[in-house]
Amino acid sequence: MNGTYADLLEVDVAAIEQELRAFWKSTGESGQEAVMRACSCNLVAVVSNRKEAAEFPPIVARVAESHPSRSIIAYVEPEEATHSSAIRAWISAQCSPAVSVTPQVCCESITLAAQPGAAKDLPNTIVSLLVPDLPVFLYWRSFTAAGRILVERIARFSDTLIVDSHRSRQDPQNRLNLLQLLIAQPEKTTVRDLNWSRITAWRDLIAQFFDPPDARKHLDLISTIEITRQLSAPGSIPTRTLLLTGWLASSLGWRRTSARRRGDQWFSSWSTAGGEVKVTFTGTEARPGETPGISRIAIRTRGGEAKFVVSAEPDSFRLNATTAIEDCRISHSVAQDPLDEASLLIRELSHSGRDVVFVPALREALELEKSFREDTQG
Amino acid sequence: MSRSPEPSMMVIFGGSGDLTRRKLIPSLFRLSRSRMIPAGFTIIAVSRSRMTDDSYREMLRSWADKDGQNETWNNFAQGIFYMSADYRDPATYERLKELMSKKEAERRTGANRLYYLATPPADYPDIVRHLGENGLSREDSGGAGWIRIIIEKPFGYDLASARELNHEVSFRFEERQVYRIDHYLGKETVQNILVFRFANGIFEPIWNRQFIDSIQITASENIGVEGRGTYYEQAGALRDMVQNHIMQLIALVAMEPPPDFHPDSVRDEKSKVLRSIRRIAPEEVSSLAVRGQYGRGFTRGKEVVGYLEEPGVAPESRVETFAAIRFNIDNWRWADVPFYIRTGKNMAKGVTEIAIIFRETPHLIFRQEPGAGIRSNVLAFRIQPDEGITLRIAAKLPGQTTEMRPVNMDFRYGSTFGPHLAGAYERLLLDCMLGDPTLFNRIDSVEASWSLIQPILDTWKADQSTPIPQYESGSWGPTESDQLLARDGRAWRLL
Repeated sequence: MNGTYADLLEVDVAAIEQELRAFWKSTGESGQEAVMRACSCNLVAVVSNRKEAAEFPPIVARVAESHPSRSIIAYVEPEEATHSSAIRAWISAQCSPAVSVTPQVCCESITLAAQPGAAKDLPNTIVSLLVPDLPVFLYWRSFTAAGRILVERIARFSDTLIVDSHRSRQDPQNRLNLLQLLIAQPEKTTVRDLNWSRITAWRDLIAQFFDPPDARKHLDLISTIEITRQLSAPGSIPTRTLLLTGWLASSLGWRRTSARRRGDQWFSSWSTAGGEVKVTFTGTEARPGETPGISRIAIRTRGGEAKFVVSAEPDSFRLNATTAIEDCRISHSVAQDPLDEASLLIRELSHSGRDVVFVPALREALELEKSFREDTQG
Repeated sequence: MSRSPEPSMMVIFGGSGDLTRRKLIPSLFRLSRSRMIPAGFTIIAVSRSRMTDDSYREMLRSWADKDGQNETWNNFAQGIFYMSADYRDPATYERLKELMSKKEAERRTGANRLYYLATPPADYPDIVRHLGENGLSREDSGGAGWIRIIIEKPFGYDLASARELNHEVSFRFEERQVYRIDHYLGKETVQNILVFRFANGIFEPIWNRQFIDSIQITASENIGVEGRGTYYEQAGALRDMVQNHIMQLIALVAMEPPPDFHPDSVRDEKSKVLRSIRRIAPEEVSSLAVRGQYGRGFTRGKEVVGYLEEPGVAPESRVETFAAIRFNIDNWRWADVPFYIRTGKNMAKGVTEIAIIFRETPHLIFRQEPGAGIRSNVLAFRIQPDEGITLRIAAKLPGQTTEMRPVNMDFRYGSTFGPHLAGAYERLLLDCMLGDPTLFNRIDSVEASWSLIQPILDTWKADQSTPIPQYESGSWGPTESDQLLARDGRAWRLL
């Protein structure tokens, strides 16, 4: 089996393990180039529909290059179909290309599709297919209300629940409930958000501004923060900007005093140890070819003594960070982390344990988003 | 987010040398590009060659791993400065002091300074002395900034010179400021030895003389001296590999569990086990140590010349390119368990491996054909290439009879954690900037290692008449090396 993804083979749900064993046996006998079967974790992806299930295997294949895993892609069919099986199953393998004399590394993929009436059986089917003794990462890909019950049941058996909170921006009605669900997860389940990972480079650079001992005093002197974003569409919820602000507020102990929204300009004020901080989100629609997201963050201190700016270079994968304190100016250019879904997942699967900074930041971001919504509705 | 160090300045003595260009600068660039070191990080390279800042940066560009990162390289290079200087000239250090102060103010590195000695070892005493005499080694008692020094191996040429160098260093720097680097300790699988031993409860109970027959450590290269004959003539296999890398591997495999992962807890245990290794008396050297020189042969697909024909090597040289030694550790855990080590150039393979060979079953209940014999269990740590751990066990062959064969259970870093491992120097440089000396050598371990090697060095130096065993390039060393184990009823693993 060459390449990164092999064709799906439909099998009986009850015979999945047997079929997989037969598959591995055949790779050893067929005289093809040697393969090594490897597995370091279970990756369970709950998707919305067949289309998404078909989009996901290439992503799994890339993730498997760094985290060989048994992946289980599961979805509920939108309506009762004509098949006789309540749950249909397909198996395949993802293989990494061989490097020099090492064999290809291959890992297994199982796709499960349940009819609506059999959705309640899907969690137990998934659990029975997990490879023992290995971590279970549950990726709730769609992050919509429709998948909530299924995910809640599978999350009981998972070590980590991964979402992409950016996806729920299309469902603002339920979004706040979904975010609340994340915060309410039990201690034993680590929650991770690909959207949080998208702002890691920005957070790193902002934090590093204040690393030098003589720069730390400026933390208490921050007076304004302007965050400029490229919007995918007018009126979009600035999910990353909210998370970034939530991070600043929760890490620095700021207390929100107001939140107002005027079109794509979002204004908030915060009470801090050093005085008031005004945070402004400014949005402009992304031009064709421009990637939506944060494009610039400018932090100023009282009296104008210091200014810290992080900006994304257009059409490149680079962030520039500039510190200007009095007449000293230093800049630092770094590579932006890849932000495609597979790269984000690879990074999340590399971490174990709770991100103690994330949940407080998410909580603060959720409250801020609620305040903005109330302002709009009021 | 990972922990990043405070802004700092690194002064590299030997700035135009091979190590700086191939390892240090690319590692620092990768750290900067990955946001592991902050803005303002500054490098002052010092070397005898005459260059300007711009010509030095241009020279480095061709060595740094850019992968299309021209703009990030340009930005990083703005923090690199060059000073042409004679290390023995006191005026150098006055100029250096001025330059450091100027750049610290411009780039806000907060008086954090790291000196890296990447020069030939002969220059170390002068550099250390002048740094001290010019007030560049002592930290501000007010706590503003830290000063550290990284010293490359070899630390000394022999035990006496190691002690002398340390006397000079400790007169100018406190031990906590000194980081003696051995890049092997930055390798993932070397660090994994401690995790494997002390994070898994099943191995410590059998990690002793009751269950282990012997330990073999191989650090072989399938290249020759590669044009560095002049350097190698001053070194040899014992100084180049055994005194530093291999002794560190022995220490990690043989040490007692430390109470915690505090740097000195780990280093205390390493030092203790090194001091427990039995000193080889001069009269025992001929039976416990083997040396050799590579002759003509065939490696990596091409014919190669012998060591004595290499440029820079004296035709009558007696420097060893191969060494194999049997050590014993006199403590309760390891009594009577031989530690066999071998290292050499132009051998059959480039591989570094630690193999723990367990005792055979006390009584095998399965009938085996003569000679078919199931072999001992072996736990092998592959340090390079293809990092990983292998456990060899016996398994039954499918069929009607109880025939057995050995099989390997493998863990490979590349297939479990993806192909991208951070370089050893990246890890070590970052640890030094963070003030974590766990992976660096303390002086007591260095002196303990030299104490073990010194009798062998002295004996070999005194013996100017016994022919040096020759081995064909592309082989596993001289036959005398096989006899070293055969006398004990053992044999080297075929790697």
